[in-house]
Amino acid sequence: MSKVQLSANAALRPELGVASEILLGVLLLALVYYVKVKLVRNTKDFVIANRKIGFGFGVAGLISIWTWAMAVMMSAAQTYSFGLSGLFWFTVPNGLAVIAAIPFVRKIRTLMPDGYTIPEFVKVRFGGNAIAGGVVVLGALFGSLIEVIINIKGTSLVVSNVFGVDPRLAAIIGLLVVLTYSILGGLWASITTSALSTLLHTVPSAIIVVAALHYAGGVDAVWHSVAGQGNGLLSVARPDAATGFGITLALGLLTATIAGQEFWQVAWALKKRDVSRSFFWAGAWFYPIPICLGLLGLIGLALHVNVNTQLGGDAAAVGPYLVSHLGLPTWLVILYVIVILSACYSVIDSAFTATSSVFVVDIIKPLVPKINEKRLFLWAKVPMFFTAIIAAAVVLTGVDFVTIVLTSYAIRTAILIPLVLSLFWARTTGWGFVGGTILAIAIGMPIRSVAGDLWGSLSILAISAAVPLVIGLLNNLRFDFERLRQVEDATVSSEPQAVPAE
Amino acid sequence: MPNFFVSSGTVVTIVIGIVIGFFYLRYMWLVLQRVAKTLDDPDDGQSDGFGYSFIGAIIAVIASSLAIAAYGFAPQLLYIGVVLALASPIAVAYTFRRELDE
Repeated sequence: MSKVQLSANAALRPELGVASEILLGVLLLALVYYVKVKLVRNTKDFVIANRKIGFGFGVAGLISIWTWAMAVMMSAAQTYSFGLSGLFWFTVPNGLAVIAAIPFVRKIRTLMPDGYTIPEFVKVRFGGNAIAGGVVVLGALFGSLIEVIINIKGTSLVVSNVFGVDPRLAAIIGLLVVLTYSILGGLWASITTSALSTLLHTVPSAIIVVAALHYAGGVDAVWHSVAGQGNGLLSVARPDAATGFGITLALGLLTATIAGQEFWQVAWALKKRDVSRSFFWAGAWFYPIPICLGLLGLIGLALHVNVNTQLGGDAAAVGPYLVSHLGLPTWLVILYVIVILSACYSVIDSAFTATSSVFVVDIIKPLVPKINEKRLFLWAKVPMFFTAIIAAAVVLTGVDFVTIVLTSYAIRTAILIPLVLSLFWARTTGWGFVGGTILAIAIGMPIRSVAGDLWGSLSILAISAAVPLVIGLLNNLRFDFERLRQVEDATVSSEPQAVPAE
Repeated sequence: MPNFFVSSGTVVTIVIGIVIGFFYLRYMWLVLQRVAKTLDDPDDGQSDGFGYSFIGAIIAVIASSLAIAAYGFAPQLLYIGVVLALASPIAVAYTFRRELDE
């Protein structure tokens, strides 16, 4: 292994980084233009794809929506930090989180076939309880905003680290690219570009890993170097990986899918017969992405990459660092950056669409029930602008967004069990939902700050479960789930009227 | 100093990847065209079953766990990840194909 020299590639200039971002954007924009002309005629098409997403786009779209930039980089980072145990604890709960959503998305699609958003469900389920609805609207909007911020940060980090582009410029270009095509096509744009991104996450990853293994001295040299270091690096049974991040990550991932508007909107947008199988196939075929890219972490271990002197103290940089320093051809480095950019873009466009549907269904429609289709269609795009502006402000000003992250995390974790109970237990009440959520945040977050992520998360989950259970048992009221079936389509005034453009 | 050229193994992966990419994009495009033509058709389908998905989920979790564990058994098994990464778009292309057939 000593023969392998890690050095920067002088050909990776800033203009190449900017060009990569724009070229990927142009490719996606070309696809979205077709989608806009053929598929997007009104608000219903824009926010829920007219509930016509089939098996193929369902699977391909979900895989990419779930493949965050951090997922691409963290699979290598956790392997680098904990060996194969890190890869195991990162990967297995990730796919499982998508599959675990199946009973919930099936249930909601059956109970409320014409739904759009989680807040809409909560408001109907709890008889218009404004506080319950407000909490969930806040959680959905914060959750989507944080997804945009995290992924645009990912874009700027990778492009700036690999090509030396100003991170602020990289972030703005990325946001403009995604905003442009999201405004054109809404959920159809998100799903179709994500389907293309799924191809970009898989085939290029395989090529890059094969090349990286070769440049690192071959599989024999890499494997024996890691094996020689001992320390259980080639075992999946190291307990410190589970306690260090695995269990907390698993809880967070379950929250992200089961209580994430990005997933519920796809559940409502899929054709009825495709809901379960799309989520299952997506979870199962998501697995190869981290399993393959995690090998970069193993190469980092084999080459004794130093986290402090070579990665700037951040293990997440191990993948980008190796790909840009192993001596790989420049075009392969660009291909790797495109893998990460496409992951960023697909999550951001999905989050934009989530803000759009929440804004249209839970804010605009209740405020202006008689709004005409043309204005509603226009308003559907407004939250995307606002989300992009706030995300840009956070990234440009360098404002510490820990508070937003914590708020989003707290609300999503705290509503997880009340939301599940409201779907499956008729005795769950609005006050149980609100009390469980608010008390879990009020008590659980201080515990989290004192005792750490694991105990904090467990406390939030325990409190958010106990309160609605106790209140539900004491009240002895039963909700008639049939009422959910009677909910009218929120964009009913926006039913297709125009002839599709040719 | 980076080269333009890559190993024979990488070339083979690229060729396989191009073939997979061709079929993936072809089926994706065909489905997209079909969606455009059937956009206003009613969705009278019933909810699909959960039983097969549940069994499949267990298999997927076990298989992915075994794939990661296999990395630790022998150097050549590191290529499992590459094979799976190439299998994933084949599976997705199959879902597009199946949508066309239904």
